[in-house]
Amino acid sequence: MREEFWNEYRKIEKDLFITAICYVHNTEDAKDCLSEAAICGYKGYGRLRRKEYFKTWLMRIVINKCKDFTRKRRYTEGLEDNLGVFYNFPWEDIEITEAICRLKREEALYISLKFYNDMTYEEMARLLKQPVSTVKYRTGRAIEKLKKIMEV
Amino acid sequence: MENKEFEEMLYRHSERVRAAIEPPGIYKEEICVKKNKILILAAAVCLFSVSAFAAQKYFSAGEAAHMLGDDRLAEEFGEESGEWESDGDYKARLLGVTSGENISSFVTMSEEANPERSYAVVAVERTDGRDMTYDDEMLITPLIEGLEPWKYNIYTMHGSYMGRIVDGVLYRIIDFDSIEYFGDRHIYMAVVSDMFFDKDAYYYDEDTGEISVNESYDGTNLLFDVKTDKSKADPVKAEEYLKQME
Repeated sequence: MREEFWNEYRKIEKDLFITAICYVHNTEDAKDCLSEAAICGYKGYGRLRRKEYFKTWLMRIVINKCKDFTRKRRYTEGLEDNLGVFYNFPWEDIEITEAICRLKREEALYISLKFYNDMTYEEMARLLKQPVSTVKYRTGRAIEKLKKIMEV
Repeated sequence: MENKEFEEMLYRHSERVRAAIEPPGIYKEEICVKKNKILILAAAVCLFSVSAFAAQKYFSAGEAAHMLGDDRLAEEFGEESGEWESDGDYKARLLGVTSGENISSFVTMSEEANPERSYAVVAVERTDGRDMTYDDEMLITPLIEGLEPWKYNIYTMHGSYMGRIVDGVLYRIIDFDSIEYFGDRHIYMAVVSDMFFDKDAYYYDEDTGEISVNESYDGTNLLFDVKTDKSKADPVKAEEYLKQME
């Protein structure tokens, strides 16, 4: 069972990590959230009845850990605090990454799930427990806002 | 730039980021370390609990908020506390609910979008006498008469929470979009032994809008009544809020 969890985890860890980065806005905090989520998932794996929902289930845990993290931390950090933490990203991509981090966290989450996890609106709706129409609308709004930030 | 072009750019960016990032790589070693830490912490908590047992006292809503570092909210709550209700492995107590703007010491992202917030403090304890741990998954969420629980809950109401275990009792403060506008409806506080909202935990009567406990649910699914102030009900604003959620 334990081996099975880690095997499944390894397949999706980048997806989870990207989502955490988009939500907490920097790689180091995202690592902490992901670590916490992985341990939580590892302990609860036996109770997951439908293994085909492993990614959805673990993604929810990651999002909850990120929310928990940002709730505990005073929401005071400015974007300047995040500069440099994407040190291993391609330079030309930093602009886009930073623009995503200028979005509100939940807007960034929609972008992350849609474009960085290749999820369909239906999958996002199941994950976020929101109606598909809500997910579509909010994703569209997040895209518009991202375009505005990037001035494209 | 056209939307389609922009979206393609994001997909390409995604591929490059995916190739560049290094996930933290936490595997079994970290689990062992964490487990050791948990054991040490559990031992410390046990020692503390034994010494404090004689003087054990449950926190009121205000005391719990103060303990969690939210002094402003502590003032809002005062000394109120409710009755314990138990089901299965857990028992819980709704200590208090309050609403307002800018009444918490903490500011969340959701608050920027919806400054009028409601806060609830809930205490949860195990029924077998063992201490609560942070692995005990609990979902605490407001539910509103006339609104499907699986669509309108703490997830969709921009909620968040923080909590701490003291003397084996979990104290959790949750915050979510204000429920005051719904003051003319029956408002509930659900406590479910799951991390996510389980549609099977409660019945929703589509004719009357009432929400009730599914007695055959495999797990803890408590439902508390929340006192409402009918004078603050505002059906027009409530409707606007619901439209905004769509």
